[in-house]
Amino acid sequence: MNKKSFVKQAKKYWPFYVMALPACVYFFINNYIPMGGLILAFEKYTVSGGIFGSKKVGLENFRFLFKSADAWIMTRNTLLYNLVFIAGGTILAIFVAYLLHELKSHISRKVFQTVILFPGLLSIIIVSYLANALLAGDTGYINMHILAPLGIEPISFYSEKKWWPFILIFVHFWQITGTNCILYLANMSAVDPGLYEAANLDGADRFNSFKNITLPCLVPTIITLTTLSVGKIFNSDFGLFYQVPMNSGAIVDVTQTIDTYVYRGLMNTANMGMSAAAGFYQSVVGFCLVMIANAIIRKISRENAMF
Amino acid sequence: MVKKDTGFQIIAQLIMMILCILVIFPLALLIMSSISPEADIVKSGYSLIPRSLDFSAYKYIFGEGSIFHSYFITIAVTLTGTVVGVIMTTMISYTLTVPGLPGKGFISFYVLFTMLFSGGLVPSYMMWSNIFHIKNTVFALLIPSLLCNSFHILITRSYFQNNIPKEILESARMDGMTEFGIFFKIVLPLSVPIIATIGFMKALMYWNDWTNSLYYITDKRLVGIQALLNNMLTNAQYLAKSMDASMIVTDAASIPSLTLRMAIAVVGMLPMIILYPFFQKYYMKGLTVGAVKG
Amino acid sequence: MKRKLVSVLLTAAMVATMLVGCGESKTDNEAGKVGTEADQSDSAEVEKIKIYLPSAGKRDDMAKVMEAVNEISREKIGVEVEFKVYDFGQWFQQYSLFLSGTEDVDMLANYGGYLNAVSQGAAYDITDLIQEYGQDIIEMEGDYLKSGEINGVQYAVPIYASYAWNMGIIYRQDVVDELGLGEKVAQVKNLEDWEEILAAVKAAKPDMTPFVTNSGNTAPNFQYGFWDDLGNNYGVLMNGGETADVVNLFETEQYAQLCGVLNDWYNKGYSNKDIQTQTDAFTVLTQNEAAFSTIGQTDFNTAFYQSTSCGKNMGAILLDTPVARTYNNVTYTIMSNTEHAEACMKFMNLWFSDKEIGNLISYGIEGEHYQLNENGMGSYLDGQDASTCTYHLGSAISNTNRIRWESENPDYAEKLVESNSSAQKSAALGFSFDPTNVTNEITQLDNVCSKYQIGLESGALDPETYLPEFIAALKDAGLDTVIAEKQKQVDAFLAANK
Repeated sequence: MNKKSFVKQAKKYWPFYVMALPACVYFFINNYIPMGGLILAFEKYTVSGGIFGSKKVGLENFRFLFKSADAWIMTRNTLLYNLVFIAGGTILAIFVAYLLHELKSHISRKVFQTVILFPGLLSIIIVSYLANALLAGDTGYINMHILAPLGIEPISFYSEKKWWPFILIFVHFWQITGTNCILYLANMSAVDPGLYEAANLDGADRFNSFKNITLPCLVPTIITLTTLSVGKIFNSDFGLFYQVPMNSGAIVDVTQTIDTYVYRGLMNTANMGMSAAAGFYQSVVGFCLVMIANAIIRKISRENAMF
Repeated sequence: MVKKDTGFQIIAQLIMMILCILVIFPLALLIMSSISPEADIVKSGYSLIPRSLDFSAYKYIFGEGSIFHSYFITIAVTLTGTVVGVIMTTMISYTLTVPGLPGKGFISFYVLFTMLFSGGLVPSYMMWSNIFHIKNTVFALLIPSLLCNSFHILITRSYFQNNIPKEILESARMDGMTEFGIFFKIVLPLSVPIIATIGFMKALMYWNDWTNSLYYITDKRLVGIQALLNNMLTNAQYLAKSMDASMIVTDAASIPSLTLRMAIAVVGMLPMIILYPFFQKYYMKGLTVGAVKG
Repeated sequence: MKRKLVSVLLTAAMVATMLVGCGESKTDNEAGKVGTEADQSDSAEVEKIKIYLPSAGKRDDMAKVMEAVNEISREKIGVEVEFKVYDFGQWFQQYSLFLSGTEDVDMLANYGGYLNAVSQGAAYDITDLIQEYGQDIIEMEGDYLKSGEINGVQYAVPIYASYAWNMGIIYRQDVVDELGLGEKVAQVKNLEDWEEILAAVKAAKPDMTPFVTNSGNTAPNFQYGFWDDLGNNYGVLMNGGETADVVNLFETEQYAQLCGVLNDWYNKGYSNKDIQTQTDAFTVLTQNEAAFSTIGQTDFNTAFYQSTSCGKNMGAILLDTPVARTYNNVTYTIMSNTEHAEACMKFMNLWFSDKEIGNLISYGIEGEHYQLNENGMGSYLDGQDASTCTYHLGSAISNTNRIRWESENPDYAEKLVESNSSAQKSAALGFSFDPTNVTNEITQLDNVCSKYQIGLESGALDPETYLPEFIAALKDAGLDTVIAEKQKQVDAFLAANK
């Protein structure tokens, strides 16, 4: 009886399944088939054995991730940076989107909106050279053109740990805020202006209308973006943590993340099994966190949960 | 909107101006250094006002000849990929917002799961090249890993959930419109801002991608712009660092490696900057449609 | 419910991967069959092989040159070759794909060691093949061929390059001449002596950094040191392998002393404050008049080669006598899943010994891609240069087996053979370290090194404080285990090669 009604229901909805089909097929081919490669994490790969026939080594490939004295440092760094990126990034993007949305002058809106997108067009390697142009000890812009005229001793950024949490966070926001903010902007521009007018007539001030009208409209997007970022919380932008600090050894304690550790450890050995293991570990943690986050959201508001 | 808010407008303008200066300043350094003589930068660092001009990096890039062809390839791929990708994305996202759809949770999970786990490069490469034989075809630039992306699907879904009034859909159904008709004639026009957003994000992904070209393309006629530029750069770097005297006869001394990086960044992002206002138009449009819908 | 979802997904993925798996194993079986058949009818028909290698050179006219190469090789050994050439940038990213056996590769160039090829089982055991078909290679390489050997199995053929070298100072000869420092430079015997020159240059040329590192922040400064590093720095033989005692380099007096000198220079301002994050190589800095000297791998040809690549008149001082050590920077291996191993070996031998083939592959067809000048050296055709000529691959498997290009040292070939054959040899010459048993330790050691090594070796870190810290961290990461493993392997190697 239950099954029958499911089939009946499904029949009624067939156009929707057809619409979902192309993407589902694509994911099956592009993502699910290669997932067989996850098995590499438990193998010592050889050409003759191939992906499925190579020698199984159990959890051996995972050992290097936990044995190191750096295991704590890299996990801490990865988590803390990601938390700041998620929280700060959301607030900043909404703030900028709100300013853009509320600007009355169309020309400045257009100009600002275009300009803040530029950094998103640059690869992180180029960003690292720009950062170097500003931070370098002998030739850097900050030391030469800002600190020197003020009579301040030059700062050797690449060997002083204390600056890097700020530098990395700044660089990250510099690069992604533009792209993130257009997402919120799209959502804001869909809000019915009539609502604002009504609120205005009721005497609501700017802060209140933001809190009561704009923000609720953004909640689903905020939840989606945050849940997705939580799934990537053990991953990090390799370029940001490796290229931007110019691989400087002196500041490794504050720039080491799981990805840079894996890269530094495997660049000379190119071990397929071990790099697969690192990826698998990051994915499993991400997966668990997404499930937890989703369960919590489901409890609070069913409508906004992912599934 | 709020009436007396000249104060707010001035502050908002000011804040945005400061943010834009923060953005533009390093970019100005970038552009200026791409047209400075390499020796100046190496010796005295980057500067906003070049002491003298030197276009040798650009000469080197455009001297390769195939650059316009590569632009063409990338533009064609970006346009096709973005259009197809956006259609696929919006369709599945819309499905995921249908109330009471059996299996909706499963499909959402199916989509999300692809973001978390990945089989890695080697299995994907084996599949695409040995089963689908896409090496050295234009499909290699279009399809692997770029066409559809769970991130875009899920953010589009939350936009739909929030901004498409259910009453409109219901009344259209009452009028006897088919579901496809509703989707293309009502849902999509109401979603121009998000389509422009994910369209832009997709275009950006296609535009900046060089890995597909790297792995699947050996035919020079199919190499996209980013792959071409990336190749120039890594070659120049390798040649500059190579200590293996025996292997390189070709004279490496003439390649400007430092300014080349900067020039490559400029050449790579320029068309996107030109293209962006085209997308931007649709944000404004989104406003007016939004105003009509209520 | 959730668990169900997961299991459904996993099953789907499994089914899908089985499909991939089936396709794969089928082709494997077929390949095996064809292989044995081909072995039997070997002499009757021409075998075709594909060789994958990187090059920065021009290759628009590849097809034409290959035709000329094949004409010779078909007749001599019954083999036709196809070169698949990648740009260096592309190469380093694709190399791991080639190694994983997904590509139709018969023979492969390995840049920066072939150990990964061996550990993934991608390298063919050529111990017998090389005896049968590689006599010219054996004769030419002599002892150096052992560099391609692990545990008594020959896997790779190193290109015939300069094996004997030592650490040396590379500097701007023209600046030295200009400042009249020639006599002082002639007296420099060790690294400390160089300080006087640096001081003079600093005073006379304020725009020029007296000392920079060789390859920027991508490699440690003492990469090419006085010791035989046996593949990595974890356990070395001091003094170029005088004895076979594997020691901890970082605890040696010599290492501490070298770091001390560099740190002294750093403090006195002979190097940049940012030396440990230096982004550009010495070559680039020199081209732009921004650097005076560096330390690096030095041999009989360094001054000549550096002069060409820096575009300046360069000099080099060897700080110790050149010593020959295991060389595996550029090697060729045959893919383990090839059907044409014999043909590959035959061709490798021909490429190694046949001057006509050597010239064709490096420079193309005479009169069409290059010409000989009055000294018998190769040069571009009139009106052409590096960017307009249609073929100039530059790659070679033996550096003596071709004419010299006009920018090269005219006597290079003779001097190379002389240097290689007369040089002092490391006790462990030909030894290659197999890191399989200590992979976990090495990932950690590499991470420790990334924290300290560049800083110490460039002089930015004070060895008084940081060297002990570095050594302690290395020991924590298992350095002693690796050294013990290395000693064991070196002893076994020496016992087998008595």
